[in-house]
Amino acid sequence: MTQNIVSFQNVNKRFKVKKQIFQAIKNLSLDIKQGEIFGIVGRSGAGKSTLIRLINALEKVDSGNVIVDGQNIVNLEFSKLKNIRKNIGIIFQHFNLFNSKTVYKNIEFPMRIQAKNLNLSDKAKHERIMELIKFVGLSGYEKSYPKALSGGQKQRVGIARALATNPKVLLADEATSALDPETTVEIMKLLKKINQELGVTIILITHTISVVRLICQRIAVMSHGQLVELGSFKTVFQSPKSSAAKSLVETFKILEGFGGLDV
Amino acid sequence: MFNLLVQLPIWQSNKIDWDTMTPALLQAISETLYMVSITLAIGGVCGLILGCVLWCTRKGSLFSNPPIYRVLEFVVNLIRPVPFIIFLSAVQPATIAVVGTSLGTNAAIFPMAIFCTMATSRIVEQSLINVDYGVIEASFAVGASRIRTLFEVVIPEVLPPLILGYAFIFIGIMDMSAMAGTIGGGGLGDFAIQYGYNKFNPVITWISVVIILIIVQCVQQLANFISRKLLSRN
Repeated sequence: MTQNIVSFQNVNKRFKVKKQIFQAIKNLSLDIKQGEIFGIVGRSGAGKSTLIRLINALEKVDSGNVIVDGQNIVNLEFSKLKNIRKNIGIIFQHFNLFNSKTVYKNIEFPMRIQAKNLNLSDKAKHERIMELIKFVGLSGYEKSYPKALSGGQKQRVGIARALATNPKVLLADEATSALDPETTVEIMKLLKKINQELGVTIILITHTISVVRLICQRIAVMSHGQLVELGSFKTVFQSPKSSAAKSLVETFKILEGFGGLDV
Repeated sequence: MFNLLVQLPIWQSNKIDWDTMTPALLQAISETLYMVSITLAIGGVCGLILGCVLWCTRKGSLFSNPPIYRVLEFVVNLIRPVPFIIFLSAVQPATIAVVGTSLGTNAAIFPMAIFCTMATSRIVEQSLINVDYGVIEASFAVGASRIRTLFEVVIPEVLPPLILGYAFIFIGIMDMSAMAGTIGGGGLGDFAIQYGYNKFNPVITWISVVIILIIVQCVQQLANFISRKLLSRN
């Protein structure tokens, strides 16, 4: 049996927005297996971004447990959290690169922060950075600044930066939403390569359902902070049970050309 | 009519005794540069620190602490709108306590540095506000602490606007330094009033104006250059 790399157990997360309490995650339990590509879909505001930010504790749970690589990360002190974060890379919709740093320095940053955990010599570090740059297909761009790069290239830097500390999990928060279709496919191929060659578990959020079909082994459908459906793309899309999943399938069919726009 | 104009004392006193005026002018320039550079060094650093603290303690920021933020903001807002010449006399007791005297160039630097700190802090805070939270999140996500995020990510991100902000501050300090003459601090402002205005010799005043313009332009151009260099990459 494959091991769970990430487990959510009865997780709740509330936000206070203008004195109103908003329940972002409601009593959610979910296991993500080591080595899989897991997709999270759902409408905006369903709690997807919050959910993946609980994995690296960018957001903290109000109740419940989040177990990453066998360790409960709820209420961890910073030094332990830092060790956990070494094992979790994240890429973002808007890339969030450090504009004042070159491609090389962007990738070096996590390695500098995690220097103690990685324990690499300067030479080994340099070699690893150059290897990563080559891996994501950006050889020759190491001295460029993010400003000079296209969206797809920026996301490649984001991916290299996320992989710099040799993580076990890669979180992708709508990583292709700001990219054109061709670039989206390229990035998807890269993610698949990362999953297959490096054995990194990938948890991705997307609005592009074709992306899910392309690379996700399992998907979760979220609605109003709850997990409403879980399974392979086929099972969820052939027999959606929840109304949220049914509506997603409808949308998918329309966008893929299996239906028209009835107004 | 024209004759009358020509006979006005303003034009008649144009005969400048350069033998006495040149050393006075050089001294005024050196006094101005001294006051301005010391003020910029002290106020610039203190303002940078205060500005970072202001930004960090804002609600939702790195070290969110609304009570501290409100106190600091109150102090900055209290001092900043006071006309500098009034502030200068208002802090006389503090100046005496710190500098030992309330007269002279060093006595002028004390209130200037305080005022400069306040102005700089606001400019630093405003620049920092513009940093995209996503970049901060990316830094946290790789395990960076809040302090390292501030120094290694946030501040480098705002360097180009910050440098332009400092050029702006520099002009403000030049402005303040012109009032140092009122407490015996000397400088170009004092020179212009003493030898130009009071002796009806506008040429002297204009000379100080030109010198101040040259200094300000040099600094502004330098700042533009550095900022552009940095901006060309982000």
